[in-house]
Amino acid sequence: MTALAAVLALAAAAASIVSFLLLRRVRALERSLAGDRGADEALGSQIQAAEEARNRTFAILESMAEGVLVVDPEHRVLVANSALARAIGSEKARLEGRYSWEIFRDADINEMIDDALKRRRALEGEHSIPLSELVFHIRVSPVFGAGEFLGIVAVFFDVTKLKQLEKARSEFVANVSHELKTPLTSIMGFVETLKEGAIDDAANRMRFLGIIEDHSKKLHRLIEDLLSLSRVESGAREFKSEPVDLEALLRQTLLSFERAIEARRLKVESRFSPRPFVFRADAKAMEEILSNLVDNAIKYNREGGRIEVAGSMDAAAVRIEVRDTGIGIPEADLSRVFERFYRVEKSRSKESGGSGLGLSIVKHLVERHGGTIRAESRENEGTVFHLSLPRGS
Amino acid sequence: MERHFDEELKDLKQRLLRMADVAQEMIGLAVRCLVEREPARAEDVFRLEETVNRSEVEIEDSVLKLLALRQPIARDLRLLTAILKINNDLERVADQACNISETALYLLKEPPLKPLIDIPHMAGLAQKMIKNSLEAFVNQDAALAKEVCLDDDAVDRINDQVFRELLTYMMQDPKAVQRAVDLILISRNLERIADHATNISEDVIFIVQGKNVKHHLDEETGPPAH
Repeated sequence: MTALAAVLALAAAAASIVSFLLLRRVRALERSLAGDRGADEALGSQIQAAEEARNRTFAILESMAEGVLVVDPEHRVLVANSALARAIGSEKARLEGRYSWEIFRDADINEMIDDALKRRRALEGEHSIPLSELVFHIRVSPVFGAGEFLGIVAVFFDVTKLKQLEKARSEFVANVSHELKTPLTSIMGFVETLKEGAIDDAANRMRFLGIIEDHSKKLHRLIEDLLSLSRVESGAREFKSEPVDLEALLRQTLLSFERAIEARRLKVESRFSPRPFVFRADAKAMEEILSNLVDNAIKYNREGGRIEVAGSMDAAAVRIEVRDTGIGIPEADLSRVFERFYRVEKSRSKESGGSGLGLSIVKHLVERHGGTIRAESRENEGTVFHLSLPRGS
Repeated sequence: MERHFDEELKDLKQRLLRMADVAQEMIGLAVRCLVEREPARAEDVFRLEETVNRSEVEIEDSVLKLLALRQPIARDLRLLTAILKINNDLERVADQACNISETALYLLKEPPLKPLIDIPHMAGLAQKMIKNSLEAFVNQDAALAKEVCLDDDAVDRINDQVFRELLTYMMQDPKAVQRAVDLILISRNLERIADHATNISEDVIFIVQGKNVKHHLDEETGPPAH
């Protein structure tokens, strides 16, 4: 795609230079022949043809998403399209006719253009635009016309998104490695302690084995979550459209969290309208969504707090709310809680033992159903997750 | 003869802008050293300072030669004297970037005192001011230059705010004093960079309008010079 754009840009730029030079030549001819009436007509149509060709190439350049810059051997900007002007935060009219070193406030980009002009050779590199988040892959090629060196054409490909993705990917790998390593280190430590004699220590060996078991479960959960996330993300998982009774699903979910709810003396309330609260969705996905949200509402609640699950629907959408009376999420973190491994506070999820992937899985599941999820929160008062699913999904 | 002088002026402008780009890059690197806690960036800053110092001497030399040989008048004379001053300002900007890097290296040896919010914001503003002042120079845009002068007030305000905030840290905990003072110094360096951007902008106004707006002198003096 980018290669095609580069070839297109190069062709368009070369054509624009040639037509530019042609037009100049025709105009010179016109001047020298001024007064010669016989040549007038032929000249007129030549000028028109040249102008049309020029306008066409400029229209192509203007429609390109990539920034295009054509610079003559004296560093003078012959062509700069609007995409380039936008990229460097300027206006097209301010660029053409200037020197390239006047328009770029970046030493590396200027050096690259210099180098390409001096050595008349193709170059490429990645450069960020100062004081902006933008990163460009810049490809510079020399332009020759009839054996004459006419300058260079530089094509600016916006790779900002790609760079952000690369960063997110490497952060994810670093996070996964960390999350996997922590329980593993603990398991290895206790196994070693047992082997070195603690196995004969009747008082402690069961405790140590218990710790090993806990951490193994944690690893298992993390790997399950990772696989689940990757299945949802890759689109490999198929979703059914079947009747789901959310009230029944909630009862079932609460049953599996019974011990944790009792231990924290939490009160669970539910409000559904209409009743029975049945809609079409993938039952397995709804169970995962509900179980993750209830799990969160338990973990981050205060002792003796409340969990409220409410559902309502109209012809267009099903709306579900899961509310807790817990510690809440600071405003600045609200939009980020759905990111993988995002932690509001480093200490928080360590205590609660989550994999750090729950909300991310929920978000993907909801989105695969064509729905949306958002969080609202007040610190020390609680958090509400609002889910909206289109009917019939 | 005239055309050759134009060529010489063009060459001089090009060298000045190159130096400006390097100085601007140095500010970015110095702030990155502090905020991202990357000591290697300080080394980059120190390396680039040598380039800036060399450019400063060469540009000054060229301007003096041109003044002596061409004896320019009116706008050309204003341009040359302004280049001489901008050259000096840019060298000082590079110095401030070095100061920030040196202080940052001290700070990196200690745990962070607080999350840095105002200082990166201030650095962004100061960098924008330098960029706009150069843009104003390139385009001979007095309006943009005036805007830069106004932005300076915002930077001054943040500098005061940083000082007040860090004062509270120092009052609470004597162990925080060294780090707080270092951050105050960095904030001051950034404020100085913004001042240099203001100076450059005032020089641009001088080139374009022949009017000296330093210290609000234009409000007292009569019609512009020609």
